Amino acid sequence: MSKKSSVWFWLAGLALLPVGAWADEAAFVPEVVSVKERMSPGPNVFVNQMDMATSTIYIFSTKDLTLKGNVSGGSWGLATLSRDGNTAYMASGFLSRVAYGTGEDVLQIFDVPTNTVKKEITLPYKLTQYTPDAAQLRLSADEKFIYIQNATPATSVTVVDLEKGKVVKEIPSPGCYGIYPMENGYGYSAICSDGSFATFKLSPDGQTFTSQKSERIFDVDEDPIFLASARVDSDLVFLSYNGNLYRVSDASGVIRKVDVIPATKGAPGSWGASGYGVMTYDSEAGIMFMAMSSNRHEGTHHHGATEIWAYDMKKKKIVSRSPVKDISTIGVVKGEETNLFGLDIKKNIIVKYDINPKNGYSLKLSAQRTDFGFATMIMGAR
Amino acid sequence: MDNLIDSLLTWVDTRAEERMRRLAGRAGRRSFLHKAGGIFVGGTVLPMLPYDNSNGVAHARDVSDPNAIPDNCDYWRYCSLHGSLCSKCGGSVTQCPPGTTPSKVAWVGTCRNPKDNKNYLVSYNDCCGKAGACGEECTRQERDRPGYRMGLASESSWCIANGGSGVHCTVAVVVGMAE
Repeated sequence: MSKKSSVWFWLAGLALLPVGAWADEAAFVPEVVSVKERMSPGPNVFVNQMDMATSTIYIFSTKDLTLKGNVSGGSWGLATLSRDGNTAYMASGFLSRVAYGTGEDVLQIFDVPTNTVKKEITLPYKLTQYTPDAAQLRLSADEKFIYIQNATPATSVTVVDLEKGKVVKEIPSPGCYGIYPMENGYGYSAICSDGSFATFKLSPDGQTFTSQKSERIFDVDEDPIFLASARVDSDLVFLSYNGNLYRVSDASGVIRKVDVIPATKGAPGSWGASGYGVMTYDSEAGIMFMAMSSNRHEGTHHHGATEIWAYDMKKKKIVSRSPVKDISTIGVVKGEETNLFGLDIKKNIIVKYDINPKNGYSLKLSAQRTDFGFATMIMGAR
Repeated sequence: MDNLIDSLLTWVDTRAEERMRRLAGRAGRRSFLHKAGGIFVGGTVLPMLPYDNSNGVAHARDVSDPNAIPDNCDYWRYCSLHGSLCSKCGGSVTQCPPGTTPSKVAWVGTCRNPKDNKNYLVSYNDCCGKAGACGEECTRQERDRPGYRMGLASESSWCIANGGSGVHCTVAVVVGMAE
């Protein structure tokens, strides 16, 4: 090839280059951003993580603790779930400048499968700002009403009619705190400062109520109970700092003491309950799981537990004691199988335990995951 | 009706403050714990309390440095504290940091001063209106009780009485003797 021909050859090649690039571009299919419309299927375990700005309900697979999604609200988020686990509720606060400014409390209603807000209901600006517990936001038995704990610090309960989508009542309850709904009809009980309970019974439209106070059930100074509770058959059960189970009945419209079970009796080492959500009941097995710690002293009642005790509510005896590390909240959730989940208060992880019914419902760690900060509530469909 | 409820709750808050101030001046610890449900200390009135005008400072001297108050959770007056120390946020043991507002009400602890083996009532006021961390939180929470005895409930934000603004840190103000 002569020099002249060579120049023409290269010029022709250069001229054809864009055509080649264009041919590659034609073959390239650009990606398009989209939204996954629904979470991956399968049973879920929920963790409510309170924050002073943005609280979040994290949704994990019960199978392997894969994070499947979340929903989020404002500060000091209180949370609960519908019985089928398809609707999540969060009551929380929104300050106009996050750390200061004018405030608004809102009840958000989320569609769990799509992680989207279905409805917002503005609440009286009185919502309790307190470490979240199941006892602060509760649905009525038929899920028509939701009861919301207020504290300014004077305490009251806001009643929202979910069918009408509006606040229908505020019930003052000075000196009482916590919401423990009746199994039938409309109303709830609350724990009061003298160790008694007040029970509020509402009319079907939520507009009127009556209240009755019980006799003293426990000693607030010597044996205070946690806010955590469990339904055992038709009774309510509470756990005290000292590890005593208080079984009470609300069936008559006023709280009556049924039994007091000294679960730690005979166990050397000053054992007692420790954590936040310190108890959870496996109703099919009849087993109450309790977060427990030894060598307790004043001020250790919110520390992480070192053991989880399985207490057989029918046989009235401890059937196993499983060692754990820093677990402050526990919850039995039924997925493919029934598992116990715990929150590690130091590492901020969720831990899954397999339950062995053949060995006294003892626990074996089977998965764990870190994705969130300080959290005190585990929830699941019932 | 709403106004009636608001009035009732405001009345409860106000009476609680007043009752707390009276009780703090005369109650022994046992009696105090028994009566303290729903009773709160008003931060703005603390300087007017008729006892312990030293605000506990005389009892708070460190052995090695008479002017120092330790910046750690083990210090005696932090026995029921749950939160960040304001002394680590630009304030002091009794002073909220600049730009914050002390909570109008507070929870109360009963702490023993090892120097004189006497019990003192300590008001834990949150300082409100700012975000930001101030080091590791203290979680001693001795004699803490759940919300049904609100005056001893350290799991509550006490900025709720200040329009619900953010909690920044907590001071520990000695307001009286418990026995």
